[in-house]
Amino acid sequence: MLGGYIRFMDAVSLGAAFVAGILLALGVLSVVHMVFVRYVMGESTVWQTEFTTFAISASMLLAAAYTLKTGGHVAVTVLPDALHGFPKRLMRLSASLVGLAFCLALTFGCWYYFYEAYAFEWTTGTIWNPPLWMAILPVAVGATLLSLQYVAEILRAEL
Amino acid sequence: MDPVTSGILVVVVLLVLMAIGTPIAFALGAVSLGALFLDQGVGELIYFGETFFGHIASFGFVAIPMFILMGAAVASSPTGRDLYRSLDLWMGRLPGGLAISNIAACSIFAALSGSSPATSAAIGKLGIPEMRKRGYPDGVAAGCIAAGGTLGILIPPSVTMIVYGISTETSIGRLFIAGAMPGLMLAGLFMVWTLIACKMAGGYDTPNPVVAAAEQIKENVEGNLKALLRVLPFLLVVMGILFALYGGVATPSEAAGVGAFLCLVLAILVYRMWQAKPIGTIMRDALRESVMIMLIIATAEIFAFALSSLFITQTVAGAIADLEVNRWVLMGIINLFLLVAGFFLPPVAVIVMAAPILLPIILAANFDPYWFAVILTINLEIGLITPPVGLNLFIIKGIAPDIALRDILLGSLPYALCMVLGIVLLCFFPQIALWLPDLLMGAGS
Repeated sequence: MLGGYIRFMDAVSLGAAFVAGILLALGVLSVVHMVFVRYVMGESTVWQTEFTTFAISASMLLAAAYTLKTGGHVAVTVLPDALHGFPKRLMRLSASLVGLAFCLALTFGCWYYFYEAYAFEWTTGTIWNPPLWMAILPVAVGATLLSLQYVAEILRAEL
Repeated sequence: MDPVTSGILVVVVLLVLMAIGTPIAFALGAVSLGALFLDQGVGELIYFGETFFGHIASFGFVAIPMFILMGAAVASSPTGRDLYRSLDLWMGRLPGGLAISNIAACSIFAALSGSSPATSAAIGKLGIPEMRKRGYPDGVAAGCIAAGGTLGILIPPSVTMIVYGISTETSIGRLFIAGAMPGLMLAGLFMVWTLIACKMAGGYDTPNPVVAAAEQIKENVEGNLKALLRVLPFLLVVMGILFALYGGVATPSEAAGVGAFLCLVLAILVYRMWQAKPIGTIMRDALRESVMIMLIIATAEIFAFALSSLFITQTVAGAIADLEVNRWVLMGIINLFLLVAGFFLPPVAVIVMAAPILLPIILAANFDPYWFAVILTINLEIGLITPPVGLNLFIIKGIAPDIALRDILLGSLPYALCMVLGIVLLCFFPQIALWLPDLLMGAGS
C-alpha cells in the first residue's frame, strides 16, 4: 500500500517534470519570439514577457517534486553523514519534517492565493491582462506535488 | 523581542536546521515563516502564497534557468572534448603545456557553461587521464582541474553574478565585464603555480619530445582543426551575448533566452543531438539545477523580508557602521565571514543571504559594488575546492577514483592560496576588476 503510494508519486512527479520541461522550452521560444518582434520587426510586444515569466515560475514549481526525488535540493550533509545508527536516522527525519512543514505551509499559501485570485477575478493589470489564477494554478499544483513527494521520500527512508 | 535577540535566534535556528541536513531552500523558508509568524501572527500564513509567487514570478529571474539551460546544452554536448583537442593543438608542445592548456580549456569552458562543477567535469574527464599518462603528478593533475573549474562562476557569463545582480539591483552586464579580467588573472596565477609545481615534482617525462610531437602533428592536426571549427560557433554565441549585455542592447533575460535557444540549436546541428535522449538529458539537468537555485532565491528573498521586518538587517548594518573601524579591517572581516560561509554553503546560497545585508555596509565604507562582487565570488570559489563540501573536489574524485582524496586536497590547496593572492591583488589594485567595465560602459554608471 505504502510502496504503491511511493511508486505512484514517483510517476506523477516524473510526469510533472515532463510538463515543466515543455514549459521551460516554451519560455525560451517566447523570449526568442519577443526579441525577434521587438528588435528585428521593430514592433512592440504584448504577451511575451508575462507569458515567459509565468511559464518559468510554473516550470520551476512543477519540477520541484522531481528535483526532491532525485536529491537535487542541495543540503549540507556533513554532520548527518558523520553519524551512524539512531542519531543519524533521527537527524534525517527531523530535517525532512522541517522541509515538509515548509512545503505544507507553501501549499496552503498558494492555494489560498489562487482562491482569492479566482473568487475576485483578479487580472495581472497589463496590456495583455490575463486572469491571475491561471498563473498561480500550476505553482499551487507544483507545491502540492512537492509536499506529497516529501511524504513519499520520508516513507521511503523510514520503511 | 528586540532585534538583537530575535536576530541571534533566527541565525541559530537557521544554522541548526542546515546542520541537520534540511535542504537549504526549505530551511530558509521554514525559518522565515517561523520568524514572520512570531512577529505578525497567523495572518502571515495567508499572505505567504502571494509573497512567494511575487518573488518567483519575476522576469528578471527568467535569466537564471535560461543561462543554466544554455550551459547544460554545452555541457551535455562533446564541446568539452573538441575545445580540449583544439587547445592541445596550440599549446600541447609548450613546456608544461598540457597542464596550461587544461587551465585555458577550463577558462573557455567556464565562459560557455557558466558553471563550476560542469567545467571541472567536462575538462577533467579528458584532462586528468591525459596528464597522468604523460607523467604529471596526481596532485597537480587533480588540482589544476578543480581550480580551473571554479573559474566558471567568475568568467562571464556567470549564473552567480546574475544572482548577485538581482539581489543587489546592480547591472548584470557590468558585473559580467567586471569578472573577465580577474578571471584571466586567476587563470594566469593557476598556470604559474602549475609550472612551479611541475618543476618541484622533478618535471614530468615526455618519452621523446621530438618523436612524440611529430606523431601528434601527423595524427591530430586535421582532427583538431575540425574540433576547433565545431567549438567556434558556441564561442561566437557567448561573445554575442556579452556584446548585447554590455552594449545595453538587450536585458539579461532576453540575452539568456536567445543564448539558450542558439546553443540548443547548435548542439542539435553541430553534434546531431536531435534524438529524444540527449535533449531529455539537457532539459533534465537544466531543470534540476534551476529549480534548486530558484527555490533558494525565492526563499532567501522571504528570509531577507523577514529579517528586515524584524529590524535585524537595519540593526546589524547600523552596528557595523557605528564600529568606525578602518574600512580595510572591515573588508578583512567580511572576507573571513564569506570564506567560512563558502566552506559550508554553495555560492548561490551565500550570495542571496549575504549580499543584500553586506551591500549597504560596502557602499557606506566607500567600496565599489562591482569590485566587491568579484571579491565575493573568488571567496566562494575557494569554498568549491576546500573541505568539507568542496563540490569540485568530489567531481574530481568521481572522475579519477584512484587518486586518493588526500592527494586531491593537497594538490588543490596551493590553488586556493592563489585565489587568496588574487583577492589581495584586487584589494591593492581594484582596477583589475574596474578597468574594463569603466572602459566599455563609462565610469560609475
